[in-house]
Amino acid sequence: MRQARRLLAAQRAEHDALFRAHYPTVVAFLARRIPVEDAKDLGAEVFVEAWRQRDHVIVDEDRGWLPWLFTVARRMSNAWLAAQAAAGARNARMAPPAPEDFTARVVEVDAANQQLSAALEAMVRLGEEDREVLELCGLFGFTPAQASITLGVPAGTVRVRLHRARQRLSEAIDGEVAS
Amino acid sequence: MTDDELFDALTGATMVTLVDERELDRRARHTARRIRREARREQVAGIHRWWVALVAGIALLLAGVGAATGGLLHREPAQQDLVWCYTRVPEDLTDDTARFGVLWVEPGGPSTAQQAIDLCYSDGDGTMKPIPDPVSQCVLPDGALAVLPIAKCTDIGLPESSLEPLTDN
Repeated sequence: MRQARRLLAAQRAEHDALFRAHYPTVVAFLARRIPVEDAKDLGAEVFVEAWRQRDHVIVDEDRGWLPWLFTVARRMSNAWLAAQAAAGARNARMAPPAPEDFTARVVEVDAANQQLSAALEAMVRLGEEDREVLELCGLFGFTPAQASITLGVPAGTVRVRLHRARQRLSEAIDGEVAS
Repeated sequence: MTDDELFDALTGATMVTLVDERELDRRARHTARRIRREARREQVAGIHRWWVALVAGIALLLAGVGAATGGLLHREPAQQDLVWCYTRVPEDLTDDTARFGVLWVEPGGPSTAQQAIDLCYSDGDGTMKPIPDPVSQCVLPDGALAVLPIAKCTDIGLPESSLEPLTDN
Protein backbone atom coordinates (compact mmCIF):
# COMPACT_ATOMS: atom_id res chain seq x y z
CA MET A 1 0.00 0.00 0.00
CA ARG A 2 2.81 2.39 0.96
CA GLN A 3 4.61 1.52 -2.23
CA ALA A 4 1.48 2.21 -4.30
CA ARG A 5 1.09 5.54 -2.56
CA ARG A 6 4.72 6.42 -3.28
CA LEU A 7 4.29 5.45 -6.91
CA LEU A 8 1.19 7.60 -7.17
CA ALA A 9 3.01 10.55 -5.56
CA ALA A 10 5.88 10.14 -8.03
CA GLN A 11 3.42 10.03 -10.92
CA ARG A 12 1.77 13.20 -9.65
CA ALA A 13 5.11 15.00 -9.41
CA GLU A 14 5.95 13.86 -12.93
CA HIS A 15 2.58 15.09 -14.14
CA ASP A 16 3.15 18.47 -12.51
CA ALA A 17 6.47 18.82 -14.36
CA LEU A 18 4.70 17.80 -17.53
CA PHE A 19 2.08 20.49 -16.98
CA ARG A 20 4.65 23.23 -16.53
CA ALA A 21 6.57 22.10 -19.61
CA HIS A 22 3.66 21.71 -22.02
CA TYR A 23 0.71 23.75 -20.80
CA PRO A 24 1.61 26.93 -22.75
CA THR A 25 2.00 24.94 -25.97
CA VAL A 26 -1.27 23.11 -25.42
CA VAL A 27 -3.00 26.46 -24.82
CA ALA A 28 -1.45 27.83 -28.03
CA PHE A 29 -2.75 24.77 -29.88
CA LEU A 30 -6.22 25.22 -28.45
CA ALA A 31 -6.24 28.99 -28.93
CA ARG A 32 -6.06 28.41 -32.66
CA ARG A 33 -9.50 26.87 -32.45
CA ILE A 34 -11.33 28.48 -29.54
CA PRO A 35 -11.21 31.77 -27.59
CA VAL A 36 -8.05 32.24 -25.53
CA GLU A 37 -9.68 32.24 -22.08
CA ASP A 38 -11.58 29.06 -22.90
CA ALA A 39 -8.37 27.59 -24.30
CA LYS A 40 -6.68 28.19 -20.96
CA ASP A 41 -9.46 26.44 -19.03
CA LEU A 42 -9.69 23.59 -21.50
CA GLY A 43 -5.89 23.31 -21.51
CA ALA A 44 -5.96 22.51 -17.79
CA GLU A 45 -8.74 19.99 -18.40
CA VAL A 46 -6.53 18.32 -21.00
CA PHE A 47 -3.95 17.54 -18.31
CA VAL A 48 -6.56 16.15 -15.91
CA GLU A 49 -7.90 13.96 -18.72
CA ALA A 50 -4.32 12.98 -19.60
CA TRP A 51 -3.84 11.89 -15.98
CA ARG A 52 -6.93 9.69 -16.20
CA GLN A 53 -5.68 8.12 -19.43
CA ARG A 54 -2.02 7.97 -18.45
CA ASP A 55 -1.89 4.20 -19.03
CA HIS A 56 -2.71 4.69 -22.71
CA VAL A 57 -0.27 7.50 -23.45
CA ILE A 58 1.89 7.35 -26.59
CA VAL A 59 5.23 8.94 -25.78
CA ASP A 60 7.35 10.32 -28.61
CA GLU A 61 11.12 9.97 -28.22
CA ASP A 62 11.77 13.58 -29.08
CA ARG A 63 8.68 15.55 -28.02
CA GLY A 64 7.57 13.32 -25.13
CA TRP A 65 3.86 13.56 -24.29
CA LEU A 66 3.17 16.62 -26.45
CA PRO A 67 1.84 14.94 -29.62
CA TRP A 68 -0.43 12.78 -27.49
CA LEU A 69 -1.55 15.76 -25.39
CA PHE A 70 -2.53 17.43 -28.65
CA THR A 71 -4.67 14.38 -29.43
CA VAL A 72 -6.57 14.86 -26.18
CA ALA A 73 -6.74 18.63 -26.75
CA ARG A 74 -8.00 18.16 -30.28
CA ARG A 75 -10.74 15.80 -29.15
CA MET A 76 -11.78 18.05 -26.29
CA SER A 77 -11.81 21.18 -28.41
CA ASN A 78 -13.96 19.41 -31.00
CA ALA A 79 -16.41 18.47 -28.26
CA TRP A 80 -16.31 22.04 -26.93
CA LEU A 81 -17.02 23.49 -30.38
CA ALA A 82 -19.84 21.03 -30.96
CA ALA A 83 -21.39 21.94 -27.60
CA GLN A 84 -21.09 25.64 -28.37
CA ALA A 85 -22.61 25.20 -31.82
CA ALA A 86 -25.49 23.18 -30.37
CA ALA A 87 -26.10 25.75 -27.64
CA GLY A 88 -25.91 28.59 -30.16
CA ALA A 89 -28.34 26.87 -32.50
CA ARG A 90 -30.70 26.16 -29.60
CA ASN A 91 -30.61 29.68 -28.25
CA ALA A 92 -30.60 31.69 -31.44
CA ARG A 93 -32.49 29.16 -33.55
CA MET A 94 -30.02 29.82 -36.31
CA ALA A 95 -27.05 28.08 -37.88
CA PRO A 96 -23.81 28.38 -35.91
CA PRO A 97 -21.28 30.86 -37.30
CA ALA A 98 -18.61 29.58 -39.64
CA PRO A 99 -15.49 28.43 -37.78
CA GLU A 100 -12.94 31.17 -37.32
CA ASP A 101 -9.22 30.74 -37.88
CA PHE A 102 -7.21 31.98 -34.97
CA THR A 103 -3.76 31.06 -36.25
CA ALA A 104 -2.56 34.62 -36.37
CA ARG A 105 -3.18 35.26 -32.73
CA VAL A 106 -0.94 32.43 -31.56
CA VAL A 107 1.95 33.57 -33.74
CA GLU A 108 4.09 36.69 -33.38
CA VAL A 109 3.70 38.40 -36.74
CA ASP A 110 6.55 40.64 -37.65
CA ALA A 111 5.30 43.16 -40.21
CA ALA A 112 8.57 42.77 -42.08
CA ASN A 113 8.08 39.05 -42.45
CA GLN A 114 5.85 39.16 -45.48
CA GLN A 115 6.16 35.47 -46.18
CA LEU A 116 4.82 34.53 -42.75
CA SER A 117 1.98 37.06 -42.98
CA ALA A 118 1.08 35.76 -46.40
CA ALA A 119 1.24 32.15 -45.24
CA LEU A 120 -0.99 32.84 -42.26
CA GLU A 121 -3.53 34.68 -44.38
CA ALA A 122 -3.54 31.92 -46.95
CA MET A 123 -4.02 29.27 -44.27
CA VAL A 124 -7.41 30.79 -43.44
CA ARG A 125 -8.61 29.92 -46.91
CA LEU A 126 -7.51 26.29 -46.72
CA GLY A 127 -9.61 23.37 -45.57
CA GLU A 128 -9.45 22.15 -41.97
CA GLU A 129 -7.38 19.10 -42.86
CA ASP A 130 -4.74 21.19 -44.65
CA ARG A 131 -4.62 23.77 -41.90
CA GLU A 132 -4.27 21.13 -39.22
CA VAL A 133 -1.31 19.41 -40.81
CA LEU A 134 0.41 22.71 -41.67
CA GLU A 135 -0.09 23.93 -38.15
CA LEU A 136 1.32 20.78 -36.55
CA CYS A 137 4.29 20.36 -38.87
CA GLY A 138 4.86 24.06 -39.49
CA LEU A 139 3.97 26.13 -36.44
CA PHE A 140 4.57 23.41 -33.84
CA GLY A 141 7.48 21.80 -35.66
CA PHE A 142 6.23 18.22 -35.50
CA THR A 143 7.68 15.54 -37.73
CA PRO A 144 5.12 13.55 -39.76
CA ALA A 145 5.56 10.69 -37.27
CA GLN A 146 4.74 13.00 -34.34
CA ALA A 147 1.80 14.56 -36.18
CA SER A 148 0.54 11.07 -36.90
CA ILE A 149 0.20 10.48 -33.13
CA THR A 150 -1.94 13.61 -32.82
CA LEU A 151 -4.06 12.97 -35.88
CA GLY A 152 -4.38 9.23 -35.36
CA VAL A 153 -3.37 8.40 -38.93
CA PRO A 154 -0.25 6.70 -40.32
CA ALA A 155 2.88 8.84 -40.81
CA GLY A 156 2.73 8.17 -44.56
CA THR A 157 -0.73 9.71 -44.71
CA VAL A 158 0.55 12.78 -42.87
CA ARG A 159 3.40 13.12 -45.39
CA VAL A 160 0.95 13.02 -48.30
CA ARG A 161 -1.41 15.48 -46.62
CA LEU A 162 1.47 17.82 -45.83
CA HIS A 163 2.75 17.73 -49.38
CA ARG A 164 -0.68 18.59 -50.78
CA ALA A 165 -1.32 21.23 -48.10
CA ARG A 166 1.94 22.99 -48.93
CA GLN A 167 1.02 23.05 -52.60
CA ARG A 168 -2.45 24.38 -51.85
CA LEU A 169 -0.99 27.03 -49.55
CA SER A 170 1.22 28.26 -52.35
CA GLU A 171 -1.67 28.14 -54.83
CA ALA A 172 -3.87 30.09 -52.42
CA ILE A 173 -1.35 32.93 -52.31
CA ASP A 174 -0.78 32.88 -56.07
CA GLY A 175 -4.54 32.97 -56.63
CA GLU A 176 -4.84 35.94 -54.30
CA VAL A 177 -2.06 37.79 -56.11
CA ALA A 178 -3.57 37.01 -59.52
CA SER A 179 -6.99 38.27 -58.49
CA MET B 1 6.29 32.31 -53.67
CA THR B 2 7.20 28.62 -53.47
CA ASP B 3 5.60 26.30 -51.00
CA ASP B 4 9.05 25.65 -49.49
CA GLU B 5 9.47 29.33 -48.65
CA LEU B 6 6.02 29.51 -47.13
CA PHE B 7 6.52 26.40 -45.07
CA ASP B 8 9.90 27.64 -43.85
CA ALA B 9 8.21 30.88 -42.80
CA LEU B 10 5.66 28.88 -40.80
CA THR B 11 8.26 26.73 -39.09
CA GLY B 12 10.27 29.84 -38.21
CA ALA B 13 7.29 31.64 -36.64
CA THR B 14 7.56 32.73 -33.03
CA MET B 15 4.66 31.72 -30.86
CA VAL B 16 2.84 34.32 -28.81
CA THR B 17 3.17 33.78 -25.07
CA LEU B 18 -0.42 33.35 -24.02
CA VAL B 19 0.35 32.18 -20.49
CA ASP B 20 2.72 34.14 -18.25
CA GLU B 21 4.73 32.59 -15.40
CA ARG B 22 2.29 33.67 -12.72
CA GLU B 23 -0.71 32.21 -14.48
CA LEU B 24 1.21 29.04 -15.28
CA ASP B 25 2.06 28.65 -11.62
CA ARG B 26 -1.52 29.28 -10.50
CA ARG B 27 -2.98 26.85 -13.04
CA ALA B 28 -0.31 24.24 -12.26
CA ARG B 29 -1.23 24.34 -8.57
CA HIS B 30 -4.93 24.19 -9.34
CA THR B 31 -4.48 21.26 -11.72
CA ALA B 32 -2.20 19.48 -9.23
CA ARG B 33 -4.96 19.78 -6.62
CA ARG B 34 -7.50 18.31 -9.05
CA ILE B 35 -5.15 15.48 -9.95
CA ARG B 36 -4.55 14.79 -6.25
CA ARG B 37 -8.32 14.47 -5.81
CA GLU B 38 -8.50 12.20 -8.85
CA ALA B 39 -5.67 10.07 -7.48
CA ARG B 40 -7.39 9.78 -4.11
CA ARG B 41 -10.63 8.78 -5.82
CA GLU B 42 -8.74 6.15 -7.84
CA GLN B 43 -7.16 4.83 -4.66
CA VAL B 44 -10.50 4.59 -2.87
CA ALA B 45 -12.04 2.88 -5.90
CA GLY B 46 -9.13 0.44 -5.97
CA ILE B 47 -9.50 -0.38 -2.27
CA HIS B 48 -13.26 -0.71 -2.75
CA ARG B 49 -12.73 -3.16 -5.60
CA TRP B 50 -10.37 -5.23 -3.45
CA TRP B 51 -12.87 -5.33 -0.62
CA VAL B 52 -15.70 -6.38 -2.89
CA ALA B 53 -13.52 -9.13 -4.37
CA LEU B 54 -12.45 -10.26 -0.92
CA VAL B 55 -15.99 -10.36 0.49
CA ALA B 56 -17.27 -12.13 -2.63
CA GLY B 57 -14.44 -14.66 -2.36
CA ILE B 58 -15.17 -15.35 1.30
CA ALA B 59 -18.89 -15.65 0.59
CA LEU B 60 -18.21 -18.13 -2.21
CA LEU B 61 -15.87 -20.11 -0.02
CA LEU B 62 -18.41 -20.25 2.80
CA ALA B 63 -21.16 -21.25 0.40
CA GLY B 64 -18.96 -23.99 -1.03
CA VAL B 65 -18.01 -25.34 2.36
CA GLY B 66 -21.60 -25.06 3.60
CA ALA B 67 -22.98 -26.79 0.57
CA ALA B 68 -20.46 -29.59 0.79
CA THR B 69 -21.02 -30.22 4.48
CA GLY B 70 -24.72 -29.43 4.59
CA GLY B 71 -25.66 -31.90 1.90
CA LEU B 72 -26.72 -29.37 -0.71
CA LEU B 73 -24.31 -30.84 -3.21
CA HIS B 74 -24.75 -34.39 -2.07
CA ARG B 75 -28.10 -36.04 -2.66
CA GLU B 76 -29.53 -37.78 0.34
CA PRO B 77 -32.73 -39.26 -1.10
CA ALA B 78 -34.52 -39.99 2.14
CA GLN B 79 -34.09 -36.40 3.27
CA GLN B 80 -35.16 -34.71 0.08
CA ASP B 81 -38.40 -33.21 -0.92
CA LEU B 82 -39.24 -35.75 -3.57
CA VAL B 83 -42.84 -36.43 -4.32
CA TRP B 84 -43.47 -40.07 -4.82
CA CYS B 85 -45.20 -40.87 -8.07
CA TYR B 86 -44.38 -41.07 -11.74
CA THR B 87 -45.79 -38.51 -14.16
CA ARG B 88 -46.24 -41.43 -16.49
CA VAL B 89 -46.00 -45.16 -16.19
CA PRO B 90 -42.42 -46.02 -16.95
CA GLU B 91 -41.68 -48.56 -19.62
CA ASP B 92 -39.68 -50.74 -17.33
CA LEU B 93 -42.45 -50.99 -14.78
CA THR B 94 -42.75 -54.49 -13.57
CA ASP B 95 -44.21 -56.07 -10.49
CA ASP B 96 -40.87 -55.70 -8.96
CA THR B 97 -40.14 -52.11 -9.86
CA ALA B 98 -43.72 -51.05 -9.39
CA ARG B 99 -43.15 -51.36 -5.74
CA PHE B 100 -41.06 -48.23 -6.05
CA GLY B 101 -43.44 -46.25 -8.22
CA VAL B 102 -43.24 -42.57 -7.57
CA LEU B 103 -44.44 -39.36 -9.18
CA TRP B 104 -41.37 -37.35 -9.89
CA VAL B 105 -42.16 -33.67 -10.03
CA GLU B 106 -38.65 -32.34 -10.22
CA PRO B 107 -37.64 -31.21 -13.71
CA GLY B 108 -35.18 -33.59 -15.26
CA GLY B 109 -36.14 -36.34 -12.84
CA PRO B 110 -35.73 -40.02 -13.64
CA SER B 111 -37.75 -41.36 -16.53
CA THR B 112 -37.57 -45.01 -15.63
CA ALA B 113 -38.50 -46.89 -12.54
CA GLN B 114 -35.00 -48.26 -12.28
CA GLN B 115 -33.50 -44.77 -12.33
CA ALA B 116 -35.89 -43.73 -9.62
CA ILE B 117 -34.95 -46.73 -7.58
CA ASP B 118 -31.27 -46.05 -8.08
CA LEU B 119 -31.64 -42.45 -7.21
CA CYS B 120 -34.17 -42.56 -4.43
CA TYR B 121 -33.86 -45.81 -2.70
CA SER B 122 -30.21 -46.36 -2.69
CA ASP B 123 -28.70 -45.55 0.63
CA GLY B 124 -25.48 -44.64 -1.00
CA ASP B 125 -23.99 -47.98 -0.21
CA GLY B 126 -26.16 -49.86 -2.68
CA THR B 127 -28.70 -51.04 -0.14
CA MET B 128 -32.32 -50.78 -1.18
CA LYS B 129 -35.02 -49.74 1.16
CA PRO B 130 -37.94 -52.15 0.89
CA ILE B 131 -41.33 -50.71 0.09
CA PRO B 132 -44.28 -52.83 0.99
CA ASP B 133 -46.78 -54.02 -1.59
CA PRO B 134 -49.25 -53.42 -2.97
CA VAL B 135 -49.07 -50.44 -5.34
CA SER B 136 -51.94 -48.88 -7.18
CA GLN B 137 -52.34 -46.54 -10.10
CA CYS B 138 -54.11 -43.24 -10.24
CA VAL B 139 -54.98 -40.73 -12.95
CA LEU B 140 -53.46 -37.35 -12.34
CA PRO B 141 -55.24 -34.08 -13.23
CA ASP B 142 -53.23 -33.79 -16.44
CA GLY B 143 -54.25 -37.29 -17.51
CA ALA B 144 -50.97 -38.97 -16.71
CA LEU B 145 -50.94 -42.23 -14.86
CA ALA B 146 -49.27 -42.45 -11.53
CA VAL B 147 -48.20 -45.48 -9.65
CA LEU B 148 -48.53 -45.01 -5.95
CA PRO B 149 -46.98 -46.98 -3.22
CA ILE B 150 -49.68 -47.91 -0.75
CA ALA B 151 -47.69 -47.30 2.30
CA LYS B 152 -47.21 -44.83 5.01
CA CYS B 153 -44.18 -42.63 4.70
CA THR B 154 -42.67 -44.06 7.75
CA ASP B 155 -43.10 -47.57 6.33
CA ILE B 156 -40.72 -46.76 3.54
CA GLY B 157 -38.33 -44.90 5.79
CA LEU B 158 -39.20 -41.39 4.63
CA PRO B 159 -40.15 -38.35 6.60
CA GLU B 160 -43.89 -37.70 6.66
CA SER B 161 -43.57 -34.38 4.82
CA SER B 162 -41.97 -35.92 1.77
CA LEU B 163 -45.20 -37.53 0.64
CA GLU B 164 -47.83 -35.41 -0.98
CA PRO B 165 -51.42 -36.26 -0.38
CA LEU B 166 -52.72 -37.95 -3.52
CA THR B 167 -56.08 -39.25 -4.41
CA ASP B 168 -55.98 -42.95 -4.54
CA ASN B 169 -58.49 -44.42 -6.95
